[in-house]
Amino acid sequence: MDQRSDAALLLASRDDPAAFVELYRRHAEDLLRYFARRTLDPEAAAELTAETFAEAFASRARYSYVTGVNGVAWLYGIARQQLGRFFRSGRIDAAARQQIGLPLRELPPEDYERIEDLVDFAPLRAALAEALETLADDQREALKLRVIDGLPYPDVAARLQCAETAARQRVSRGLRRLALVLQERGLMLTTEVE
Amino acid sequence: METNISYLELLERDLLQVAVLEKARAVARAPSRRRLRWRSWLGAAAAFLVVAFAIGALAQLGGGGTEASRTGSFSTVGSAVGGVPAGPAASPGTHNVAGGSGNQQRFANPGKQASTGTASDLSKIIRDGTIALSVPDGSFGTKLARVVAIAHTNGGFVLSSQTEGSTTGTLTIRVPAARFDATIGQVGGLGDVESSSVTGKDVTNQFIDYRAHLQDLVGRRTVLRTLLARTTTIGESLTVENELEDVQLAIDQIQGQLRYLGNQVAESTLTVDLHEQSAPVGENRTNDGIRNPSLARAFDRAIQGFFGILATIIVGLGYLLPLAVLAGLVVGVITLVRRRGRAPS
Repeated sequence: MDQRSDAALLLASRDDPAAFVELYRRHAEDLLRYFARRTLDPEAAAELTAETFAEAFASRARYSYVTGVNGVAWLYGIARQQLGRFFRSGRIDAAARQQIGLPLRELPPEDYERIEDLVDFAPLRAALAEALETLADDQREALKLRVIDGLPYPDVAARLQCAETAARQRVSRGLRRLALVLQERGLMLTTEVE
Repeated sequence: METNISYLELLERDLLQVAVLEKARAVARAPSRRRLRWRSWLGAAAAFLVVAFAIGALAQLGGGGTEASRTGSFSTVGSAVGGVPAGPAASPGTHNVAGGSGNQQRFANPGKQASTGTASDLSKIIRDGTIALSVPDGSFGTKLARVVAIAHTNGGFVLSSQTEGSTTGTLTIRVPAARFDATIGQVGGLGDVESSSVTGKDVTNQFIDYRAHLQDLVGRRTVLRTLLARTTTIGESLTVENELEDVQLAIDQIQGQLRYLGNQVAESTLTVDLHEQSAPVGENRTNDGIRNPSLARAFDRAIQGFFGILATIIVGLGYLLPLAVLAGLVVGVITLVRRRGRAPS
């Protein structure tokens, strides 16, 4: 286990890029949870996590501990910028990943539920019910079954009479749309520590 | 990393790969020790030259007054022109006074400029000048007449004149070389001097060459005349006469050149650019009053500037090199003493 601080890892990664990977190991899951709670979309959360680490890697030479910003705060500063861009444009940049040569990967099917497990949806249920009315019918139905009724994806797919993959996509897109609506109406819960 | 999320594991693997690749690229890009040493020497040499330039500039600024007092015989120009002496970077044979206040001057080749019309006959300098004046509104006509009067007073005449409207004009006057400085001073007193320049062309060598050639030809002419008197046949007579004609023609040409040079030296040309203060700046005059800016002139100035910087660096090196050698010796001695002190007895 590397005992160096986040700031020390970031500074060391200028000459030894592998040190950055240790920083990633420490904060990747927390950052994924951070994005998942705000976007309510596992796909978007995963991509935002990748893009944030890619941008941090690309710009690590600009990090300076002299400014008084510790390593994790600097990382979440980049994350906030990514999230802001996502909510403004509705899409996720891939510029940093392309810049450093990080491949663009799709989220494996088994990760959808695991990422949802990272997010505690209970406090969001009431707000979600209100915002659900703004969605398209198929997305709203998929979300109701998955998020409000808490059904697993095979059951959601059976109720909607569609393939499980299609059910996942409807839920994912519905969640993304829902997150944008909640963000616009100021209903987004921000209970987690940044 | 302990996580059950496959995406994060894949991302970790990808990041590690990117990190390893970047490290490999950095190692490949890293400058070798030899290159680093070479860069260090290059940096030190550049720093040395910069310091030399700074010292050279300071030295020339400080030394200019002495040089001017030793050689300077240029009179000041106009009421707004101060008697600031020599600057270092001027081109040979030129004297420039420029700027709104007209208090910056540049001289070069000063010893010879001093001789025009007043010193030894051995030195022959053709001097020409340009002066740009700003005069009060409504006074253009009067000032133009004053310039003509000044030319006449100093024994000169107006060579040409050109006016644009009733507020701007250019007058070219010729005055005896001996009265050139006085004329510039008087013309400069008519208004605010915006810019002024005086150029000097040394034709002494040409003069000496022509005179020597002339003496030689006159000698040959005398010999040929003697020979002509002694010829006995028509053929000999024709041959000598032809030769005599050629020599006489060459003598006439050289005497013409000498007269032309003599006139050029005896009289100087001054171009006076006059304009009222509120007059629009004409196409042939820039904002700083310099007439006819041209690419050739800009090129000349650039070359002069380059050699000026080079000269400044050389002067600085003159100061710096002995000190650097001395410092090197001191460092060498100290290093030697320390090494001996450390060596086992």
